[in-house]
Amino acid sequence: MSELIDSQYVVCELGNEKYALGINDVYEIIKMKKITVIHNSNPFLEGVINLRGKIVPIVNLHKKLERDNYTLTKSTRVVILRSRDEMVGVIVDKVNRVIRFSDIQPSPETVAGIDGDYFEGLGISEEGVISILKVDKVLYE
Amino acid sequence: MEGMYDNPEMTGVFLDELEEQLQLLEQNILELERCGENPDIIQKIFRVAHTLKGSSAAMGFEKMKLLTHEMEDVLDKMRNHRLEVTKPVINILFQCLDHLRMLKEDFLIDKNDIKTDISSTLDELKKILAGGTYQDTSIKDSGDMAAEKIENKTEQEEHALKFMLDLEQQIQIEQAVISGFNLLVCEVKIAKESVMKLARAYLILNYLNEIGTVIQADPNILENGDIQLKDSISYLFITQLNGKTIEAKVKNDLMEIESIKVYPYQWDMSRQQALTTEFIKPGTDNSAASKTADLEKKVNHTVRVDVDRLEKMMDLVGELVIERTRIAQVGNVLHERYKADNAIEDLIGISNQISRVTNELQELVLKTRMLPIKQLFGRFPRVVRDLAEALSKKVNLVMEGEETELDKTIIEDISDPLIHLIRNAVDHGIETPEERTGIGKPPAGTLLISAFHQENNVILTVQDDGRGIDFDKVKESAVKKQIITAQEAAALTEQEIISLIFHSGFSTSTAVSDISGRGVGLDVVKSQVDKLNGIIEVETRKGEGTKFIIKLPLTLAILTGLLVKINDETYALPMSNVIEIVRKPEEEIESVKGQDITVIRDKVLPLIWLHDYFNIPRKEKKKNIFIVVLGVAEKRLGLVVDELVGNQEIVVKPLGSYIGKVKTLSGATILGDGSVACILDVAGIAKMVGTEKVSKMGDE
Repeated sequence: MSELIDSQYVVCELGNEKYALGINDVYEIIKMKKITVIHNSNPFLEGVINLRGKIVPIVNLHKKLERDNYTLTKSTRVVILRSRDEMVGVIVDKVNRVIRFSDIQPSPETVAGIDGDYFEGLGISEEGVISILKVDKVLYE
Repeated sequence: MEGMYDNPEMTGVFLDELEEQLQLLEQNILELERCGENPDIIQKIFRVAHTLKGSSAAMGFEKMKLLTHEMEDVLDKMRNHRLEVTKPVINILFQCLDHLRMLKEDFLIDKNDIKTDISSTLDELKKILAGGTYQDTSIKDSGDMAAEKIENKTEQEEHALKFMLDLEQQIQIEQAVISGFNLLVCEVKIAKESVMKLARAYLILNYLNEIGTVIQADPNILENGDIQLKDSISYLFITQLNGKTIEAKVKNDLMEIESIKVYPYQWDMSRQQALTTEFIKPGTDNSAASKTADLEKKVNHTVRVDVDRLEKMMDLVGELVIERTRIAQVGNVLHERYKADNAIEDLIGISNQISRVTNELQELVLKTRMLPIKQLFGRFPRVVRDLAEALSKKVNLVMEGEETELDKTIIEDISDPLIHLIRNAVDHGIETPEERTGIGKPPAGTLLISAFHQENNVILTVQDDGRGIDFDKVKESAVKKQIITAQEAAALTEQEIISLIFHSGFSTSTAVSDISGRGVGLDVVKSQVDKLNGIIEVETRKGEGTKFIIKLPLTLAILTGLLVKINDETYALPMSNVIEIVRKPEEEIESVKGQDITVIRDKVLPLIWLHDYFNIPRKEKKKNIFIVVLGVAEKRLGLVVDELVGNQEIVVKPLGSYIGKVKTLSGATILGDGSVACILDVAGIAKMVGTEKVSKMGDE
C-alpha cells in the first residue's frame, strides 16, 4: 500500500459524502456543460459532452454509488477521468482539494452499503476517513 | 544480410512495389490474351517479371525469385518468337500470377514461413521451355554477340543519336551552352553484383542533379520508371564542373559502380539553332525559360504517407471545420450587439477568410484520401474472364469512369459487393451463347460497370443484358424457402419482389454453384452497402437485362447531414440516405396491423416514431407532421420528426468504446454552438420497422 500513500488524491463530494480519486486518474476538472442524452444505452450514462472537439461520455456517479441524484448548483463539477485509454467524465457536487493520506487501510467488504470492490481502500487524513474510488471498477462494472 | 531483409521500411517498399507490379502483370496478361501476340505487351510482362526477380532477390525471397526467373525465361522465348502465344501458355502465366499473389500473402503473414508450393508451376514453365525450340539457341547467342560488337564499334559515333531530345530539352541545352556550361555525357557501368540496379541508377541521377542538371538518360529512366536496366546507363547533363572532376567525384562518393566515363557531348549548335528559332517566336525568351523551369517540375514528386497520419489530419481538419462555424456564429452575435464597432467588422472579415481557407483545406485533405476507382476496377477483367471461362459463356466487359475518385476505405469496403454483383450477372444474368443466338441476341453478353459522381455521391452501376430477374421464379422460390406465404406472394408489387432477392438465405439458382456463393447472395451486398450509408436500386426487364445501382457517399469522415429535432433534441441524418421530406396532415396516416403507414406518391411507406423508442413524449399535435423519407439499400421508410433545422456539413465522431454500440446511433457530431448531436443510424432504424415500440400512432 506504500505507493498508494505516496500519491496525491483529489477529494470531491457527492451529497454529504467525501470520496477520493487518485490524481493520476484525473485528466481535468471542468464546469458543468450541456449534456446530450444518449437514449437506450447504459443506465448510468448521463450522456455525452463536447470536450474541445472530443466526444466524452458522462457517468452519473450518484446513481452508480446509489446516492440521491445530484442537483445542479454553482459548485457542480465534471471530473474527467482517464481509464483504459479513454476519457470518461463523472459528475460530482463539489471538488474540495488535493491531499495526501497519512495512512490507508484496506476497505471492508461493504462501504456504506456499497460493494467494497469499488474502493482501493480507506484513506486516513486530518479531515477524517475518506474512501478512495477504484476508477476502473466504478466505471466499467 | 539477415538484418537487411528484416528492415521493415524496405519490406514496406517491397510490398508496395510488388502489389503495383502484380496489377500491371495481370493487366498485361489479359491484354495479351485479348490481342494475341504483341511484342510490346510481351516486353511489358517480361519487364515485370524481371523487376520482381530483382526485388525479390534483394529481399532474399527465394521462392519468388525462382518463379519469376523461370517466367522470365519463358517470356524471353516468346519475345524472341521462339514460343507461340497459345491458350495453355497464357493459362500458365495466369497460374504464375496467382502463385505470386499467394507468395505475397505468405510473405505478409510470416516471411520465414512461405507455405505456397510453386513446384507444379515451375515444372509447367520448364515443360514449356523444353517444349519450345532448343535448336536455335546457339544462333541467338552468336547473333547477340554480333549485335554487341556492332554496338561497340559505333558507340562513339552514335552519341548524337543516343539521346532523344524534345524541344524543351534542346532549348535548355541551348541556354546552358550559351551561358558557358559544359554539356557532358556520363556513362556509368553499374557493378554486376548490384541487386537493385534501377535504384542505383536513380541514386546516380540524384547525385548528378546535385552537381548539375540531368537532361536525359539512356535508357530513359526519367520518364519510364519500370524500365529494364542493362548494366550501363548514360546520362546527358549540364554542369559547371569538368569531366575529370566528375569522374573522380562519382567514383569517390557512390558505391557499386564498376566504371565511369565522362566525355563532352557533341552539340550541333547550328542545326539545333535552326530548329529552335523556328519554334521560338521573337520576344518569347521568357516563356522558354519558364518552360525549362516547368520541365524540372514535371518529374513527379510523390510521397507515400501512412494512412493513420491522414486520418489524424482528417480529424484535425474536422475540428477546424467545427470551430470555423463557431467563430462565424459568435461574430454574427457580436455584430448584432455592437453594430458600430469597426473591430467587429474586421473580425467578420477574418472569419470569412478563415472559412475560405478551411474549406479549401478540407477539400484538399479529403482529396488526399481519395483514390481513383481504377484500382478496384482493375480486378474485374480477370474475375469476368475466369467466370466466363468456367461457365462457357461469352462476356464483353465494358468499364466506364475508372478515374472516378472515392475514399480509400470505401473502395476497400465496396470491392466484395461489386464482385458479387458481377458474379451474379455473369452466372445468373447472361445466357449461354446458344441461348442468346436463339433469341436473336449477339452471342457475347455485355456487362457494363460504371462509376460517376453525382453531387456528393458516387454512383456505381453493374448492368448486364441478360435474361433479367424472373419475378415468378423469385416468388416461387421465396415461398418454397418460407420467406413469405403463397397468399402474400400473390399480393406483392414488383418492388417488393425485388426486395426479396436481398433477403438472407435467398438464391434463385436451383443448383448451388461455386461461383455465386451458396445462397449468401445479395444480402451480403445489401448489408455492406447499408454499412456505408448507401442505397441500392434495381432495374430489371425480363429478357433485356438487370441493372444494379449503388449510391454511396464520397467519404465517411465528413458528410452532409440533415439536422432535425425530435422533441427538443437535435439529431443528424446522413443526407445520402434522405430521399425527400414531405408534410402530411395527420388524417393521412393509417395503421395496418399496428404499423403506421402513409402513402406518398402511390408508394406505401412504413412510419417510425423514434419518440416512443427513446421514451420521450411526442410533441403536441400539429396539423401537419414532417416525414423524412429515408432509403437504406433497397428499403424505404418515413421518419417522423418535429422540426427541420437545416443541412450542414458534419464531422462524424465515434461515440467511443465506453458507450459502445447504440442501436439507433452511428456516431455523434459537434454542432456550431459547441453542443453534441447524435447521428442517427438509418440502417439500424430501418430494422426497427414493424417492432411494437416505434410504429403505433398513439393510444387515442
